[in-house]
Amino acid sequence: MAAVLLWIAGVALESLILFRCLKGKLFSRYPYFCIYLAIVWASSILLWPVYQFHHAAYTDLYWAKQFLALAAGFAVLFEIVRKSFRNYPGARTFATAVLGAMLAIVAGYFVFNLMPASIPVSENFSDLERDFRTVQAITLCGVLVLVAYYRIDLGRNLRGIIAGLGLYVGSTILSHAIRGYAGPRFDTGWNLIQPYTYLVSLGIWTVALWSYAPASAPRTAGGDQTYDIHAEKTKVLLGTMRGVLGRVEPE
Amino acid sequence: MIQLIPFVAVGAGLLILLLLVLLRPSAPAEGSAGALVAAKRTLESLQLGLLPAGLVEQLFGQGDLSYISSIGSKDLNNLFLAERKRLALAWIGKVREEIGVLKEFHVSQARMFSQMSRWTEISVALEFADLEFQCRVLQLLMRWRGPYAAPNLVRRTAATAERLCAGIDQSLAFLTPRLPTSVRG
Repeated sequence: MAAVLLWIAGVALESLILFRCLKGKLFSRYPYFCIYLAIVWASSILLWPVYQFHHAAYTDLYWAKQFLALAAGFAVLFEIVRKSFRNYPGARTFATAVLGAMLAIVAGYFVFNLMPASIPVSENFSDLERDFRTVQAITLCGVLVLVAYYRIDLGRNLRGIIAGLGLYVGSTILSHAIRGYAGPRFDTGWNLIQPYTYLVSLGIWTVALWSYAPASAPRTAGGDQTYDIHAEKTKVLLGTMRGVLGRVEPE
Repeated sequence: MIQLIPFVAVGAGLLILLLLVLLRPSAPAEGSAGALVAAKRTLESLQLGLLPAGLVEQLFGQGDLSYISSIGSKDLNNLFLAERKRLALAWIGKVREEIGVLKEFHVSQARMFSQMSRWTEISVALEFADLEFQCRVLQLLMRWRGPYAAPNLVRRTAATAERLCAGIDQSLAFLTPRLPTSVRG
């Protein structure tokens, strides 16, 4: 019963977010995130009958869906970097380097770990997902460090996308790691943490993407600021001269 | 168990970082002329008021202490040490505060330059971090051992701060108008 309620709540929230994205024209502004959510939403709906009536086939299809969502998650990361640092060319050079390093790690992982493997991916998917989520987490950490250091204003939309994705990725890594160590003893925790964290992430996305709310563009010295600079220059000159005069006043 | 540690560290680290970064208030959109002038003033205050070698030597050198000690009054000596400790802590606090302002300024400007060199930026960030660390260590040492606890560290901190100021000064040179020859005399 709880599983049905969780499924209904998840699909309802996903539908609501997609509806708000359509209504607020957010599809064109955050296309990768919307595609990611659409993939998750469609697979949730399509997999439900399979889960109910062909449980044996569900496991393989579930991992296939997870793999698709994982790949789309990387596209969301790309979008986060592209949008967050759009107005900050200097900080963007760092963020691009972080993203490039992440792609190199993923490519290396594919070449060295997956290609030679003889066992089907679905059998080893828990480790695969944990490793991929770890790469996502490290990339997100890099982006967050740059955002904090360069004091980047993200705006409500991106802030929410990062918060929801980060919460889901972080809790997934922790769940996989603990499950890998504790085994079936952790199954109860696993069944609670994963779906509820995902629901919280969906809640964050619903609030954050209710309407379009981009970051404010930074003002640059120049253009209409020219007069300000000029006026301030004069003030500095006056201050300097006052200082010079003060020093030569008789004591 | 050992295999578990890196994954738990990454997962927990991400969640903590999320909380720290996303819950703090957004920074104002900087880059205005006001920010440039504030930075210039801070720079002048550091270069002319706080960092000159003469002042640092007067504050942290042994000259004044030797003179007071030569008077031979223990009370006077204690009073002098207490006052000098207060002064030294105020000095280091002010240097820290102004270094923070300069860092904010540097970061708000650097993020806008597309030609920014990553290595230079990393070295500047490390220099700021080193300076901040040195200031904290000095504060701790002075609270614990008094104003003359680490004269060499004080000189090194002042020298590092001066080096940083010189670098930032070049980027703010346009804000210092050249005085006419007649005024310069």
